[in-house]
Amino acid sequence: MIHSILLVDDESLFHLVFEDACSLLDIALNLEAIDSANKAEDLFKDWHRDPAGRPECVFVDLNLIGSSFDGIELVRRINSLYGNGVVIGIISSSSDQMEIEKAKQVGAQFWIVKSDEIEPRLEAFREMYDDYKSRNAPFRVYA
Amino acid sequence: MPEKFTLPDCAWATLIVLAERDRLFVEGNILKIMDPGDSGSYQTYLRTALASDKAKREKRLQVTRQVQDQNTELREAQRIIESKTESLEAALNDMSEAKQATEAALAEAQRAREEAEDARKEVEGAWHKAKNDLDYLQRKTQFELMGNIVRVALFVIVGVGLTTTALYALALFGASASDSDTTLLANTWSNMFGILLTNSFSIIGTIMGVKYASAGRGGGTDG
Repeated sequence: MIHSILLVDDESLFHLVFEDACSLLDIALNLEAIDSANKAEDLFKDWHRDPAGRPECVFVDLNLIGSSFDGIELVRRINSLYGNGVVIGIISSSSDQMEIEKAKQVGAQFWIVKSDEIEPRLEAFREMYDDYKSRNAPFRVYA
Repeated sequence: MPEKFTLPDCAWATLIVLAERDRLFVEGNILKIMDPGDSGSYQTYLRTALASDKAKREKRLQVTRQVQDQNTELREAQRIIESKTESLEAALNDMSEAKQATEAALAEAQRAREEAEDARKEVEGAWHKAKNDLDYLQRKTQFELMGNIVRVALFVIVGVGLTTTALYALALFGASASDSDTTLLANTWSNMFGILLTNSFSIIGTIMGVKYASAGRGGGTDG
């Protein structure tokens, strides 16, 4: 079980879906959800100074309405500036190959396609989680 | 993964009483790190609480998904409405532009009509003026003609009168007047003078008649 997850998604209904799915599947013990890339960056700036409370894993939506930058840019900033080895990937309803390639290039470890039945993808992700944590798993798209 | 924790027996007992009496259970992920130990009743409580929590989460997940689907449909409907609204606004703008063009054309037509009306009045004025000029010219010519006729006639009448009167006077008072017979001449002079007077009045009557006729014709066309 993942100790803590941060979800960055502008759709508040998906926060509930993701939280319940993770709880039912025993994926995460602690889950925090926020709706803005800017808030996420601020949190990681703080955790860069004091890692207490930093999540193990971050799920970032691709299109974050109301934010200054999109999910791929957030992944790049967290990976290159503040991440310090956090497991990070994209969760999006899009499966645009160009976007997936860009996410891979900025250091995303996975791409989960949002859909009505997200549980099987989360279960498959959970099985690979230890490899993601040890940086041994290749980039993978859960579609 | 944090270590599991256990509760003192009194806490378990309170939780079990609340569950039996009020159907109230501890909820959430904290259940996943509670350790019931070897006690069967604690294990039963934890199993029931986890099942209750799972059922509630499943129900909430189902409802959330329904809301999410409805939300998606509403967004799509909103997108369609916005698209149609844009189309309607565009059509409205086109109509407004067409209305403005029609109004401009109407104003132009009105202006052209007024110009045509002005031109018609101007032509009518010119026509009346020309007609009056022509009428005046006709009358002037007629009057001149009548004047000439009257003048010549008067000259003739006066000339003939004077000539015959002179001849009669010569016959009466001339050198050979004593042996002249003037009776015939007197009658002739008298007759001729009467004829001249008659002709004079005839000429005057003709002139008056022509004048009256000209005036009547001119008044008729003016009306």
